[in-house]
Amino acid sequence: MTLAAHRGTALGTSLHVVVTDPQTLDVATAAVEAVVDAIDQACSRFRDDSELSRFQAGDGRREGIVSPLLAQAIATALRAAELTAGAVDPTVGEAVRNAGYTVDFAAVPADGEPLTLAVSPVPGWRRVRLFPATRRVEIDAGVEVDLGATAKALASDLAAAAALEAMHGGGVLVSLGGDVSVAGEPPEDGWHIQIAENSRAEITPDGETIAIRTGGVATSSTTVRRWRRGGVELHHIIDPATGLPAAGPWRTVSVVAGSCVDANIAATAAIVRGAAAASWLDGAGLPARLVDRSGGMTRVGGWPAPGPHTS
Amino acid sequence: MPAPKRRITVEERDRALRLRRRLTVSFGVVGGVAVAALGVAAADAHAGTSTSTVSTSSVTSTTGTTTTPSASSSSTSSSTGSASLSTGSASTGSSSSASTVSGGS
Repeated sequence: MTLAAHRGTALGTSLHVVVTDPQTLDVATAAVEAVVDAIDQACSRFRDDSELSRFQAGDGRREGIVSPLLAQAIATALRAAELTAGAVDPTVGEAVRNAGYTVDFAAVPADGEPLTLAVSPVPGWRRVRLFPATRRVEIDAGVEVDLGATAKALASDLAAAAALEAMHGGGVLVSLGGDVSVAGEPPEDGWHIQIAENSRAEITPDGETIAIRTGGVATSSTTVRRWRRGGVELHHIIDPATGLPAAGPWRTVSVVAGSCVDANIAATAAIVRGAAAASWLDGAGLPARLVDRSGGMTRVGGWPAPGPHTS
Repeated sequence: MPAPKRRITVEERDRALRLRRRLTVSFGVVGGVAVAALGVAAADAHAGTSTSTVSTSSVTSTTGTTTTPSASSSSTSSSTGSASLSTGSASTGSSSSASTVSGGS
């Protein structure tokens, strides 16, 4: 089977669209880009004109009716918080901003003056309320929502589904910055995905590679989106318990799940949960590969053994 | 024939005024306690709606009708997905067939 691929950028990261029928690549790519643009307009915290930015602008308690897409993104973020006991929490907005991640990452200075960061739990996801039937959202005063932890994975899932519908058959893989979702009929031997610490890495002959037929794969890592302030390395995965970048033993976690969103939730939660994450993932039956700070690897939950030529 | 009214003395007037002041102050304290008690009760009730899983009432701006939707803390799992993370499976792949890379971003 000959696969066809489109490679581009979106949401400040890489975008890959791969289809099993080359004739459907253009229509699949168009469907994917439409979904990604819609997510960006609804959920971005870096755009003043995004629906989320406009909704939560100003002080005090904010409330109102949001679009179906923003409601879905907020619901996904709240579900992530609920399923991880708050390890993945959308109220990290102020903490991320205080740590220096204030604009699209490409514009974040790599180095800068020292920051004063206070150890303080984030407000907590229960201070954001969504009423699904009416799409009414209430955000308490002093709470800043950041959907970055889950919106990209949601975009991958929605984009893959939209592409499949537009293609009228076949199979499609969508990767947004390494958050991979597949839909439709896979290639005969599955979708082969190389696992790395950086989604921008080139595919190498000896790189660990897995194959999936459904669902998604996501990787969370503290080795990317890093910056320095006062000589201290910071990164974008915030521990809601401290309001500071997570400081656990794992630097990179990859997870396979029934959807890209669920894989992403588990991977990010594992970074935050630290030492307890491996047994948590194993107990949940989630195939996962965890890389510790020294590069040592732990595979749990049925993650396949690396091939004989894997480095 | 009614008895003629007696003019009250200055002492009696002052005593009456002191009694009225005491009653007014006492009523104010009792009233304040009552208001404070109501405030505590209201705060408890508000806390109950904002942090627990009970339904709350709100008026939607689009229809103007009173509705009783469930708050997200009690309903997101059922409305947006499974109450647990969905699992998947993977097998060993081949780098020569790899379509993409999953890594941090």
